[in-house]
Amino acid sequence: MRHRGKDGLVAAALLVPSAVIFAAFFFYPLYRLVYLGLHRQNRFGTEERWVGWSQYREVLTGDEFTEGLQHTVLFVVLTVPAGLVLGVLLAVAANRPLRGIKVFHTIFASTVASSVAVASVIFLWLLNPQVGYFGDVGFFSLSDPDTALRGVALSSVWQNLGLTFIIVLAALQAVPEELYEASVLDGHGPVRRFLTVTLPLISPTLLFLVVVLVIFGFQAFAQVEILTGGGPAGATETLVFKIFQSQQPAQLGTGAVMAIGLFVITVVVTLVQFALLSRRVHYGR
Amino acid sequence: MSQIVFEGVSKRFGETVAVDRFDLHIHDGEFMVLLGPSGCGKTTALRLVAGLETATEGTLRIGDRDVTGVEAKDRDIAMVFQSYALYPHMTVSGNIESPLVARRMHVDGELRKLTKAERQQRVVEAARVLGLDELLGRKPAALSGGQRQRVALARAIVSRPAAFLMDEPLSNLDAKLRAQTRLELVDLHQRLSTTFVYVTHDQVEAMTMATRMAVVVGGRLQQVGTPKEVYERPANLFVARFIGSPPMNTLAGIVEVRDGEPWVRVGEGVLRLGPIAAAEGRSVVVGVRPEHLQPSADGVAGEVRAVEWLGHERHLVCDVAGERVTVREPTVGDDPMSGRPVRLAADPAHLHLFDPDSGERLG
Repeated sequence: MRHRGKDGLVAAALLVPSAVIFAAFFFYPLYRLVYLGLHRQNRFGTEERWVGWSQYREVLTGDEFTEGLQHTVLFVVLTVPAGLVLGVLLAVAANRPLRGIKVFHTIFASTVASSVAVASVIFLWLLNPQVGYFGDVGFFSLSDPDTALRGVALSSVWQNLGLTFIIVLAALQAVPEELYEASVLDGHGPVRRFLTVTLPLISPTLLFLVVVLVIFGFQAFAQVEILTGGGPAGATETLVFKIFQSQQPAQLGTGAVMAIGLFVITVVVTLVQFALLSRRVHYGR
Repeated sequence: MSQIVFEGVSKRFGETVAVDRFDLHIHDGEFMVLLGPSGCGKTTALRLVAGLETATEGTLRIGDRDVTGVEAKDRDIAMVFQSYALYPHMTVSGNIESPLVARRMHVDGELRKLTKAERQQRVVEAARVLGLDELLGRKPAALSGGQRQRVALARAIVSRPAAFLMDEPLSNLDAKLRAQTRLELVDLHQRLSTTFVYVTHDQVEAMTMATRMAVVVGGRLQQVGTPKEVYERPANLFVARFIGSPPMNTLAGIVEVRDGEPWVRVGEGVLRLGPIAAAEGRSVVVGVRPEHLQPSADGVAGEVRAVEWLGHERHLVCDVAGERVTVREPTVGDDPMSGRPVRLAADPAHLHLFDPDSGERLG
């Protein structure tokens, strides 16, 4: 019993650093968000007034939030499947023992080394309607409200490709060679081999990537800010962009509620992904 | 007919010669073991038969068919991998069924894909042969090593191939299970009466299971024969030093003739030879198995360096003319003391002579 008590103390002591960090950088800000969402500030931020949960209802059912959510979801739909498929294709193509293949590994992975800002500036020039190399491609046009989000998505797909590529390549290299050989002997062609051996064995990695890429998509901000500034006509204003715009004191409460809404949605979506996909994911060896 | 014939088959990887001009005829229904140290090319030879590697030169036949350029799936063989290579996301049943799904099979003289019902029936049969009936719904992760090994075997027999290829299938099992599985493999071979080609570095597996074995060293076929032939008449020094545990003792010597009888001088002592065709004064390497040497009043002189007591027998490790020599003897009487001088003699019938340059057997 005394022994157990001592173990408990040690365990508590070891947990203190992470508890402190979580408290300072996660729980306290979350508490402040909830608090701000329950209040309204005057325009100088010098006084605040309790407005209660009605602010939550108003904001979360209001046009701003719904519109931001629509843009965000569309952005996720445009970036995640395309990014994942491209990353897997590149990794499968590059996962073969060819002379000089490492050069291609480096090239394909290189976008990891670029920041969102760098990627956005590159695509700002590529997609610029006046001088951009792809400025006249209507499908990605940044100046048309109907297509601008596609241009933003294109830059994100490109920027995330390196990460997807590296992670999928690592997963592919962990698939035992003998399984591929067994599949050859079983008479599988390349497509069947990919579907019956490769895909199931890298499925935990793909689940991880879906979750991460969806969260990246929900957090999209810098690429919007740099490429379109939310325009044209607010067509690319994602939720985080709208939250960012509500920085002046009078809108702090609104922004806080939207941030909480985004947080809850992200958590729910992630849980749903785990629940749905993990049934189709194979972890055992 | 499911004989497997290598005709001058070589496999090179760049500068490395993995398989060097193999000529090997594996007969229909034989349990052929390819035995050799790791990296000797035995696994490459097996993979050539499987179609996982393509021969650099030579011809490979399975049955009466030249399969040198035939795809793996069309060679009518099944392979058991060292790691078993079970698909981890499929059940035992799915794993056993997998060779039947995509390939066309010979059914009553007709080449076609099996129906779902036919496949299911074969899976159940294969599972029964290997005692897996209860485990069909499980995933490989929920099986023991021995059970996984059986699933790998069931997956091999389910397609009723012309030959089974096995790459060190027992090396991941513990010693007790390995001994048991050896017997089961021999039993399976007798029941199926199909050609088995089995690769191992473990001579106990080779000796106990093979109807014939092929010793491979350095990419070359050193000797092919029954385990008894290979043990009793090793074709060269490679084989002599590789087979047997502890392996054959080999000592440099010179042939002498005294009173019309042939002897071999080793250091200070001599060993009497049987009637062999080796000229007087010829340098030879004389080989003698540990169980054929015994301490005696005459023979070659040496010194006991260590005694390894194993219960049912003991090994005297001796220095003779600068070479390490092991004597296997029954544990009768007191153990000899280390450092004691000893003389060792052997029955002439159990001495083997080899050419010191080529390593080939003399006589």
